[in-house]
Amino acid sequence: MSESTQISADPPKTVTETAAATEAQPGWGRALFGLGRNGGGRSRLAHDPLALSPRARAGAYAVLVAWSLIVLFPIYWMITTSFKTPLDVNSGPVYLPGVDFEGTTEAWDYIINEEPQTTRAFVNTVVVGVVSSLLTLVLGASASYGLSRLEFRPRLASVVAFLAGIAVAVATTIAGLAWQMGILLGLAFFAASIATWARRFEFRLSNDDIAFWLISQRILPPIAVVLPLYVFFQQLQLLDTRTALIVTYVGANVPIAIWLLRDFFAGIPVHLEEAAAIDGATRPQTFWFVVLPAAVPGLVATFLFIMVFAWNEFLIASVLTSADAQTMPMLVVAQNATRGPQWWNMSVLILIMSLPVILMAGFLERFIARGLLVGAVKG
Amino acid sequence: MAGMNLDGVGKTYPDGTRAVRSVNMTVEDGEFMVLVGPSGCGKTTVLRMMAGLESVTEGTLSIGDRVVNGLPPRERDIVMVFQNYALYPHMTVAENIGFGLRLQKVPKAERAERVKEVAEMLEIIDIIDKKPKALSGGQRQRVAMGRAIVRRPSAFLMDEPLSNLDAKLRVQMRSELIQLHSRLNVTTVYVTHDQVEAMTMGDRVAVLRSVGGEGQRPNLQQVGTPQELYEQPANLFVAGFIGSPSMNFIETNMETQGSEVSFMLGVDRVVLPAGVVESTPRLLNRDTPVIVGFRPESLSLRKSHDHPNVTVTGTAEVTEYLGAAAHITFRKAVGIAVVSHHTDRSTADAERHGFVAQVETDSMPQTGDRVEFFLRPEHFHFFDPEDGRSLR
Ligand SMILES: Nc1ncnc2c1ncn2[C@@H]1O[C@H](COP(=O)(O)OP(=O)(O)OP(=O)(O)O)[C@@H](O)[C@H]1O
Ligand SMILES: [Mg+2]
Repeated sequence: MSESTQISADPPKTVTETAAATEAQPGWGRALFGLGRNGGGRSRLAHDPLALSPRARAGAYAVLVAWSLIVLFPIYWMITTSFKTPLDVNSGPVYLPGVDFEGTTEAWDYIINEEPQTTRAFVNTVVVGVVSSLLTLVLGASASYGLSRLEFRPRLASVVAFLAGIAVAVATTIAGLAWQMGILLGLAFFAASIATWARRFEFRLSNDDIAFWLISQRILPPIAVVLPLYVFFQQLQLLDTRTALIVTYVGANVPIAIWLLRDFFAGIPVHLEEAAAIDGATRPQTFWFVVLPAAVPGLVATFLFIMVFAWNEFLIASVLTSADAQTMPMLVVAQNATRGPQWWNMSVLILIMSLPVILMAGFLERFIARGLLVGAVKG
Repeated sequence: MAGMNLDGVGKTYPDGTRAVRSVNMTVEDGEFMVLVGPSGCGKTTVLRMMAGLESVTEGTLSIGDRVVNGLPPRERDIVMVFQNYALYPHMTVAENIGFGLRLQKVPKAERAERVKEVAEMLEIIDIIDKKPKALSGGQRQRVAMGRAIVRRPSAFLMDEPLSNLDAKLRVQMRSELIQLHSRLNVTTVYVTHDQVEAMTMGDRVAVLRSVGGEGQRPNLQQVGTPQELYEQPANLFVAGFIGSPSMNFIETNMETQGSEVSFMLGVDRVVLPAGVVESTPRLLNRDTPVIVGFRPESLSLRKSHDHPNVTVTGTAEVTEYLGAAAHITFRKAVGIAVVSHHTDRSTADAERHGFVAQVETDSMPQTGDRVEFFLRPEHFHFFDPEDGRSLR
């Protein structure tokens, strides 16, 4: 089992127990909330081939502790900074509250009670992050399931014809035609092409080409698309709305979600779905009752990944929003606007915006437990 | 309850692979039909077409009196047990078994009742709350069976359900399956590549063979009771496939003098009794060669006193002691061409090993001994070398 490879102090258990423990006791959640029932420090049996010698174990812990300090220190610094006065911050490093500086809740008080935009920005961040991630997940799961189960063989020429159709629509609209007419013309051009010249070219694309095309959408740096996006939403009169952010984040995240989920769906044995079909399930029932539960770890991991992106995104938000739809990162940066960097306020804001993500990660981590497919089919 | 009928059924996979051609077969209501054949002969493909997991590209397939060609699995009233069980990993044993009933909207109480009944029948009631990953291979196999039984379908389809079990468990499950069938009496189509399983379990057995390089050959070689397949194999392939060790084959010429037909078996002249010639009239006055086959177990070290005997002489090259019997591989004193076409498996064996005899262990010869074997002429099988068909 994979657990044998981790540096842990759990005593060996029977397979059943271990499997149950894996499911019920996610490591991170356990560490975070102190939910664990296993104390540390018990040693493995002497004959365990993967057991570390005492010296190697001490070395391993030393490395881990050092690394944890490096990773955790900035967080510590942020927490303490949020309780410092401007003087404490500006007059040079102070480390321990109550020892080399007096703690104060002024910054917290200011952000929560006086800064008028905190609540709105927080709500915006939550709404945009959660809604866009859920939408992304639905679209991404559907697309990647399709890509892993069905074979698509579109003609390259048809794709070219479609792009040409779009070009026709855009060109005629710019030339002064009503946009509805432009779209109709584009569609007509596409249909005519498919019926005529496009059929002659036999070269076809495969699922892998489609997947690559999707991920290639993320190769362009966001800065390159920000201005077109701005104009786009300006035309639609959606600037400074959550809708604009949600649409953009879904568009940006769907390729990543597909890329991450494709392997998850491919890893679910087709036999399970056939068994469901034999059991009398329709396609949607099969997906809902059999595929989705088996894909939960992948879905949760992907959800966390893309949600963190949407939660923290700054560049696009800074261009598309100005007041009403501002998200937390914008508010953080705003603390640097007029009076120089207000580090204490920033720290408070960052802590506030980080907390939900940390809680959510800790809660969802149990669903990312490995080995969910163990026992499905005889390997 | 329903029988099944295959009429000219064929399958070409989307990539152009021709897997099945012209299968004509009827599975009677309540029958235990075994599909057997070497790897790649199309057994699984036929079964999956019956299940509705694979489209039928030629012919018609009916279950009961309904043509089911285009119907999805859920409208066929059949169940299938997969080789790797395919249990739902996130459901408990009870949920796995009850999933089909849940989709059929069977009320919860009745569902629980039926699941329990089946679990008791299969003796898995103790593990009913476990998830598949906590089960042994044998237990998973039973759960897969339970999932099938609980549905009370009109037919069971099973694809090598025992092949993942160890030898002992396999034998045990084999007899349990036979008992189960005689109890439920549901039409069953059972796929295996193990001819012992086929012979012991099947009411009837269908022997399949791959369609061949050009895809021209029909898969189905012979359908019959185990006894028919063993005693009257329709062709060289069935003769070589059924029986272990495989049948011995030699190619020889028949000589006719008056009404007497004889042939040379190495240095030994074999005169066929009138009864054999009568039942195989095509041996009379035959001027083309014939393939003669005889089973290792029809050879004996002892002369039979109430029957005419044929003597076969050879040198023992390998002797294998098996407890109840011994296998002796021997070469004829005078070399004869060993048949090298028409059967895939038996020929390879014969070429490497010479002939095989399965004999009593009481007076076993030593390696290198010159041995006389006796067999009864009725036990010879005759085949046409041209098309491999039996001359009976
Ligand atoms: N999905 C598929 N696409 C193309 N060819 C296939 C497919 N599945 C099976 N075949 C081919 O069809 C032939 C029959 O395969 P099948 O799986 O039915 O054999 P089998 O008798 O079940 O063999 P085994 O005993 O090894 O399971 C083989 O030549 C195989 O390569
Ligand atoms: Mg098979």
